[in-house]
Amino acid sequence: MIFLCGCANDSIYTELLKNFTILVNGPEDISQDLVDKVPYASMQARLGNSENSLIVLEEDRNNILKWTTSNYVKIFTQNGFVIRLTGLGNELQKIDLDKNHPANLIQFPEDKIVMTSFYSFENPQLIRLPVKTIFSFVKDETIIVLGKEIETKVFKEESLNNLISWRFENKYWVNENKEIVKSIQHFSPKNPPIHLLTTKKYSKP
Amino acid sequence: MQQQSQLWVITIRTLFFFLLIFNSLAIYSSLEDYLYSDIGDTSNIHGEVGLINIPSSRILDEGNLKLHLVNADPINSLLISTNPFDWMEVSLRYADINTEKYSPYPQFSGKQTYKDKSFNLKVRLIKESDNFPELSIGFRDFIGTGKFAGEYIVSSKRIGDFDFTVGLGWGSLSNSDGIHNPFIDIDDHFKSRFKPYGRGGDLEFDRWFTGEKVSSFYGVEYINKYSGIRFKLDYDSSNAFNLPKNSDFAFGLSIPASKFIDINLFRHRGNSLGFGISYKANYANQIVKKNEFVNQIIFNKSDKLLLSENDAIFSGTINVILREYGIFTQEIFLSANKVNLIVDQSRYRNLNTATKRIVELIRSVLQTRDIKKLSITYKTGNVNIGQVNFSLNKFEKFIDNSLSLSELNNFLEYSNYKNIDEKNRIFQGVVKYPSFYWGIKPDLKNHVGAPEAFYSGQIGILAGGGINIDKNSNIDTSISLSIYQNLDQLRLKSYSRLPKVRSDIREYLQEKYALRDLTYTYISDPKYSENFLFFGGLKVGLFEEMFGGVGGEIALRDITQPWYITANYYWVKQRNFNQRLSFRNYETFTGHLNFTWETPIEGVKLVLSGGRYLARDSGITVNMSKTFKTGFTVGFFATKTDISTLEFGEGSFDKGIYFSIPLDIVSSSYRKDNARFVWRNLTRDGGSMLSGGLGLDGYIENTSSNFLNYLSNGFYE
Repeated sequence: MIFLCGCANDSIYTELLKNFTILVNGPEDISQDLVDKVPYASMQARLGNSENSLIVLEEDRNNILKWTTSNYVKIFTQNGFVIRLTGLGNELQKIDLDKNHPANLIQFPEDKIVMTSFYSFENPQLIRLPVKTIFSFVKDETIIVLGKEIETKVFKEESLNNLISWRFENKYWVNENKEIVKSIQHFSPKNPPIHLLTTKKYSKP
Repeated sequence: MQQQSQLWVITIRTLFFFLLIFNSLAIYSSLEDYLYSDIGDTSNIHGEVGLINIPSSRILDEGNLKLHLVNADPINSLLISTNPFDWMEVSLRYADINTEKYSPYPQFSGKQTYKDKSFNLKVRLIKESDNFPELSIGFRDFIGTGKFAGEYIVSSKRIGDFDFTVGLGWGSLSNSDGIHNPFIDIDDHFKSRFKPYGRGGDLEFDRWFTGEKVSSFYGVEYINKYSGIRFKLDYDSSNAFNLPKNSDFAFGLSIPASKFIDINLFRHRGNSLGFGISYKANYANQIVKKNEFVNQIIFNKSDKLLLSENDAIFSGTINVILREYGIFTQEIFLSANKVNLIVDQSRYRNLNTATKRIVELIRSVLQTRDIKKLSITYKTGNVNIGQVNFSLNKFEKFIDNSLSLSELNNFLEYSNYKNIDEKNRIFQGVVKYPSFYWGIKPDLKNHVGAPEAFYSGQIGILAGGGINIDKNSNIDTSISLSIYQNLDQLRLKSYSRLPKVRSDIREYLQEKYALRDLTYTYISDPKYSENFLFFGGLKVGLFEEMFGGVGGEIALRDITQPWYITANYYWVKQRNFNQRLSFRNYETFTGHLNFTWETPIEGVKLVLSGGRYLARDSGITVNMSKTFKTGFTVGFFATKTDISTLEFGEGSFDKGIYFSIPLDIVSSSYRKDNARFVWRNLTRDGGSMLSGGLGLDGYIENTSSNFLNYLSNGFYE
């Protein structure tokens, strides 16, 4: 005989409903209030279909920005491209970007370009996995960030054949200043993609 | 000479070539980790980790919980297996045996086929090393009717992508053409497995490894690294149910459908196809990473001045900041450079996490007063269950990653709460009484394996609520309302030689609208001392579906000791089946003395309860559990009382296993709720305890210094 007794209070059902709503409608954006509370540069981030959370800028070292979450996940970006992500079980230790990669050139090509970058992972370790990608323009799109309309150009970065048959498609929304304001980036085959949205822009002192 | 030098060049080139190859292999040796997601070892049709029919010596990592459904006609099984330790596998089997009927009397059980419940156990004796294989010993159906009863010794060795298994089986794993049982040479009692028919459910040690013959079994498993698919082939000559069999070989596949699910397809006995599906997760690890945003508050100069000079603003700020995180400040005491906080919180399962969060949240407030020492007392209801004392500066250094946990431990102390000088109190929370609370949640009732119907159940709503009259007492109630049920198909009356204190469960289950409980509870003001905490309470009313009455409970514990004692005593009367306010004639006194010991084995707790049970039988209950750092608990219980196995009936004595799964394991936020599953062989009257009592152990469990040291992961999140 099986007895099932949930010792839960009603709040767990609220969370269940919330999770179901996320599944159907997607997660809710971070509020302007929360963004305003934090005096630092910040981004809205989430892994896969989880809830959105706010990440704040911890450090700028040689134009590589280190963003931190409340649970010690560290995200390193170079001109908006994720190049390192630690604090999850399986980590992206480093991407050695192709010299023609937009992260290095700080410009986005109108034509398709093919690049090879080298990915290194930890837990389990995999060093310098060559990943060939094709980078291309998709369309113009107006997006809304914290209630404000922003004109963007959408680019995608698609993986080609590689040793672990890792298939992914990254998407970047780039504003008129050539800054990535929104992106969906795959950083490891063992993790869902990270969704980033700039909520408070970083300005160099 | 020239030939010799050419040979050297070739040799060096060859060596260089191989070095290059090995080097490349070393670089890409970890590629396979990314080629597929290995779901780990999979189960056989009996629920053990193994091949198709046979077990292997493999055991999953501790904390795994697996639900496995197998269609292997004519025997289909639902299995739950778990690993309290990385050397132990326990599985429960609910089998539908289509070769025979539930009973020979159609008027009793209609066309329903035979159902059987059993427990399996596997223990690893030797761990695999580079040179030696792994060795395990297993017991199939070791507490049950014995339909599947058998024992085995099995060894497995992994070579590359192949895993080889060979073993010896007794009982249901042997056949009459097997080899001579070597244990017979040691003692003659190993010769025969036959025992006079018992009640089933006994631990029959003297049957283990008996029987004239022993059979060997073997198999091999190949793991394809590109797909994660496991190909299995095994040889098993046993045939416990005398089923038609064309071959002793079986083969099949285990296909990973996701990180948690695998699908098994197989052909066995040379004439039958089968399939299985299993869901597995390791609840010893957080499945979804916690992501609680900790708001860092920065005060300006004038704020700092106000906080440093005004006690009301200082304490009010602490109160407001903590409340946002579900931590309710009850009292604040301030003396010299020390703050004592008394808080009540229902969010963090692990008190160490709560401690860390409190420091993170209010450190900037405390800094305005140059606080050096902080004591946090945790309160549940009106009971201060214990306190943690530490140097604030050291704790801040730990949070800022400049101090390790082992270093912090030198400045951290758990102690019993003792009364604090009231003149130092700068804040006392005001709670308005009476206060009201209510809530609703789904209510599921299940009855599986009855003779009339395999499954009967009810879906409904449980509406609960109550009144906190003052800090010591409250009135609590819940009402269950049925939305849909088919429990009325349970028509047969129960039979028992004992007073029917539990076996009338069918009558209670069939009630569509019921007053589940209605109680008045009083918890006395506890007695606090440097060396112990002592408190008690009284409860009167309808405790549970089946009993109401009056009684009391006391608890004694020292936070620095790995044990505590509780005792309870109740007069109870059996409620009418309609579960309103009326009673049946049966009444009795019941009570237990409970000794809880947190053993030196990490997370393992032993509870011994001795006393008088609901059916007026006396005896002892042993309850052993393992709590993982996430809060996942797996345990078993067994009760032996002064009634005979004949009086107890089928099953011989009360026993079962349980799991408690923390619901926040799959949530990014913190909460304390659990889903609890209890599986007992049968519902019997002997060895039954009252439920719905005061449960004072709930106030103090997992909060001793011993357990909080074990739960030190809470400081990291």
